[in-house]
Amino acid sequence: MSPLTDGVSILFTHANSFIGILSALIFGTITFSVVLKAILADKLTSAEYFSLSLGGGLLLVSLVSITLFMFNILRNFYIGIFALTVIVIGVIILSPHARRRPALRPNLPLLALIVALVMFVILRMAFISRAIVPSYSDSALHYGIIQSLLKTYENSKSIFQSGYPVPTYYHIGFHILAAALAAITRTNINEIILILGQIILALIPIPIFFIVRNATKSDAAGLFTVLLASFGWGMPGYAVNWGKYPALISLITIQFVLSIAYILAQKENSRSEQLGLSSMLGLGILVSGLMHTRSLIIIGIAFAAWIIATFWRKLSKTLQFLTTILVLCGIIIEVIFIGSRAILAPVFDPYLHSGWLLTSTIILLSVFAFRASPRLAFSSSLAIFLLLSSMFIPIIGLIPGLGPQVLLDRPFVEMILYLPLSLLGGLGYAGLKQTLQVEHEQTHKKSRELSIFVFIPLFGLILINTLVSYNFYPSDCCKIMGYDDVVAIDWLGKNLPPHSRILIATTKVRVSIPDSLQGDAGADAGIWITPLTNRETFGWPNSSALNQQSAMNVFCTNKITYVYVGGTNQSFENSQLETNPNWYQLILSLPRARVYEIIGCPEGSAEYQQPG
Amino acid sequence: MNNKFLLLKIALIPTLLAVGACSYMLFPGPSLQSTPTNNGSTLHIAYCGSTPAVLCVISFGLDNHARTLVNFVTPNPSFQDFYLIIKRVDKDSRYECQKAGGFPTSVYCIGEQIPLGEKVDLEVYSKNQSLLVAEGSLTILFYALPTPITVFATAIRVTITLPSGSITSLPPVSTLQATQEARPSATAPNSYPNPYPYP
Repeated sequence: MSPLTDGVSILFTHANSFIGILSALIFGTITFSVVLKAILADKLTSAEYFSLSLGGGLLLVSLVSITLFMFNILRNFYIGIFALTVIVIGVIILSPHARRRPALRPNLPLLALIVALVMFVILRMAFISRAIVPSYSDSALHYGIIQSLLKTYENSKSIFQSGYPVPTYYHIGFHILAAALAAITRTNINEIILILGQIILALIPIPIFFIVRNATKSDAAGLFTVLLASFGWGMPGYAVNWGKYPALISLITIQFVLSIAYILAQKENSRSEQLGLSSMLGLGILVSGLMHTRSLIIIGIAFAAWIIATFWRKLSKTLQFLTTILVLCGIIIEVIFIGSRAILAPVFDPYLHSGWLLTSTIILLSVFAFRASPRLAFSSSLAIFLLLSSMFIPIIGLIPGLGPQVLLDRPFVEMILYLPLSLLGGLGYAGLKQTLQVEHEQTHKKSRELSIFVFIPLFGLILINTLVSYNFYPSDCCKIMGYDDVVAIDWLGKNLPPHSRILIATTKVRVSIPDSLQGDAGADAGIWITPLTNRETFGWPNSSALNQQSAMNVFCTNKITYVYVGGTNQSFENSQLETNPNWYQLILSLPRARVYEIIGCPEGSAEYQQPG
Repeated sequence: MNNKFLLLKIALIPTLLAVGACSYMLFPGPSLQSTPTNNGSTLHIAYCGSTPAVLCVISFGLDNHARTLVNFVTPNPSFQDFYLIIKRVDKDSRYECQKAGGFPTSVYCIGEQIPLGEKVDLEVYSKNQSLLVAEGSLTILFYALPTPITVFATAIRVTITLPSGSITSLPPVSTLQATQEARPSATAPNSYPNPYPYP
C-alpha cells in the first residue's frame, strides 16, 4: 500500500469526522476571504487571498469554537442558529465591498495551490492508517483535557463554571477546537485528534505562499516555498509523533499573524484598511496565544527581527554586509555549540541528517534571497539566530507546577526552524530567477533553458527527496500503545473496581536543560488508563526497581492495588514482578501488555471484580 | 456582472452548509451492520503482518480465570459484530467477542483456555445471522514476544520530589513521593525523541 492509497482509504473509513472538520474549515475560509476582500479589495491575487484565508479560516473557526464553548452556545440549538445567522448576515453585508478582479485567464497559481492542498490532505491521512491512538504520552493528556471539556459541555455548563481541566497546562485553544468538532460530528476524541491533526499538517505549508509571493511577485517562488515547507524536511510533520498538536496548529496562526503584520508594514494602506488589518492582527495574536503560549514568543522574535531589519536597511551597504556576516557567524557558532550538547543537538537532526541536501541548497539560495528581498532575508536569518538563542534563556518560576523552563524548548525550535529556512529558500529562488533573467537579457539566451536547467531541478530535488526519504507513517519511536494495550486497558476498565489505584511507568522529561528535569511523562500505554477507563494511575520511575521492600512499602502506604506493564522498551521490567509471586500476581497476560495485582501488602486490600 | 458575483457568493455559503449537512447524513459514521467479505466468500484468518488484513489475529492472552483471550484486529472500523468458535481435536468452544471501547478496529474474544503451542481451527460467525464470516488455522503463540529491556551497568540514586497525594483524574499521572536507592533497569532516552538517537 502506498501513502496515497492508504490516505484515500482513510478518507472513506473516517468520512464522518473528515467531512465535519472540512466543512467547518471551508466555512471559515470562505467567510474570512469575504471579510479580507472587503478590506483589501484588489490588492492581492486570488492565490494570495486563498493562502491567507486558509490561515484566517482556521483562526475564525477556532475563535467561534472558543466563544461558543465558553458560553455553551453549542448546546442551545436556538442560540447556535442565531450565532450562525449573525455570521452569515455579516458576510452578506460585507460581500458588496468584496470586489473581485475579473478573471482574464485561468488562475494557475490558485489551481496549483488547491491541487497541492488536496494532495497534502490525502498523503497526510496515510499516518492514520497505522495509528491506533495519537502518538506519545502528550496525546493522552490532550485526550483527557478534551474529554473534560466535553463533559462540561454535556452538563450544559460554560467552561467558566467548571474547574480548569489541568492546572499546569495552558494551551487550551486546540482542545476547545477539538472538543467543539467532536461534539458537532459526534465522533470519538481519538479520531478527532488524529484527523484534525493531519488536516492541520496539510494546511501548515499553504499560508507561507503569501509572504513570498507578495514580497517577490513570483508565483513560482511562492509554490517552491510551499513545497519546501511541506516535505523539505522531516519537520514540522514529524512533530505529530510527539503529539505536539497545539504547537502544530499554532504554526498556522503564527504564519497568519506574520502575514497580516507584513501587509500592515506596507505603507500604502488606507486608514480603514489599517483598522481592519489591525483588528485581525489583534485577534490573530490572541488566538495564537491560546493555541500555544510559546507562539507569542515566536511572534515576538519575528517582530523583533523585522524591526532590526528595518534599521539594518538604513545602514550603508558596507555596514549591511558586515552585520549580515556577523549574524551568519553567530548562527555558525550556535550550531557548533548546540551540536556539542547532547540534550540540544537533536534540534538539527531533521535539517542536517536526512535533510542535509535541501539545507545545503537553501544555504546556497540564501545568497540570492538577499537580492530578491533584503529585509525579509535578513529578518529570516536573524530569526534563526534568535530562535537558537532562545533555547538558552531560562524562565524560572513563571509557570507554577512546572520545572525549570527555557524561553523556547528544543522540540519547539526543532519543529519551527523549517519556517525561516523555507522563507530563505523561496526568496532565494526568486533572487536566482532575477539574477538569471538579467543574465539572459544580456546574453539573449532563451528563458525556457533557464527553467529546464535551474528551476525544474529545484522542484525535482524536493520531490525526489520526498519520495526517497519522507515518512508519512507514524515513527516507531513514539508509538506507546499497541493492540495488546488496547485490549488490556479495555479489559481492565471492565474488570477492575472503579476505585482501583494503578501503578504505571513514567520517564523523566529532559528536553532543554542539561542535568535538569522538566517533569514526568508516561513511559508506555499505562498513561492512557485514566483517560480511557477513569481509573486512578500513579507514576513511578521506570528505572526504579519494583522488587525492593522500600518500593513495596510506598505502594502499600499509597494503597496501590495494581501494576500495569506495557510493551515499550521503557515499561517496567516484567521479570522483577514475576520473580516476586508473593507480592505481585499476574491477572492478565498478553505478549505486550500485562496487569499485576499487588498482593504483598499486609491488609491484602487489592481486589478485582469477578467478570460478569 | 458584480451583482452576479455577489449573488454567487451569498448563495455559496448556505450551499456549502447544505452540502456539509447532506454529506454528514450520507456518511453517518461506522455502521455495525456491514459485512466486509471477499465477494461473499469467507475471509482467511491468519496472524497479522505489518499491514493488518481484513481480519487477523494479533495475539493470544490469558486472564485471571485462566481463560484465553483472542485479540483480533480489523482495519475496517465498521466490521460487523461477531463471535468465535474454536475447534479443537476433542471439542468445539464458543468465544464471546467484544469491541474495545473507543477502538472499533480492535476486537477480543474470551473463552476456554487453550494450551500453549496447540494448533486450532478458528471460525468467525456474524452475531446477527450466525453466518460464517472468516476461518483459519493457527498455533497459539502467546509468549512469543518478550518486552525488550536495556540494562545499565551502574546504579543511580532516584529522587522523586513532586507533591504526593495530589490524586486527581487529570493530569493522568500523579507521581508517588519517595526517596530510594534504586537499581535502574531501563534506558531513559531523550524526551521527544527523533528517530536518529532513538533505538
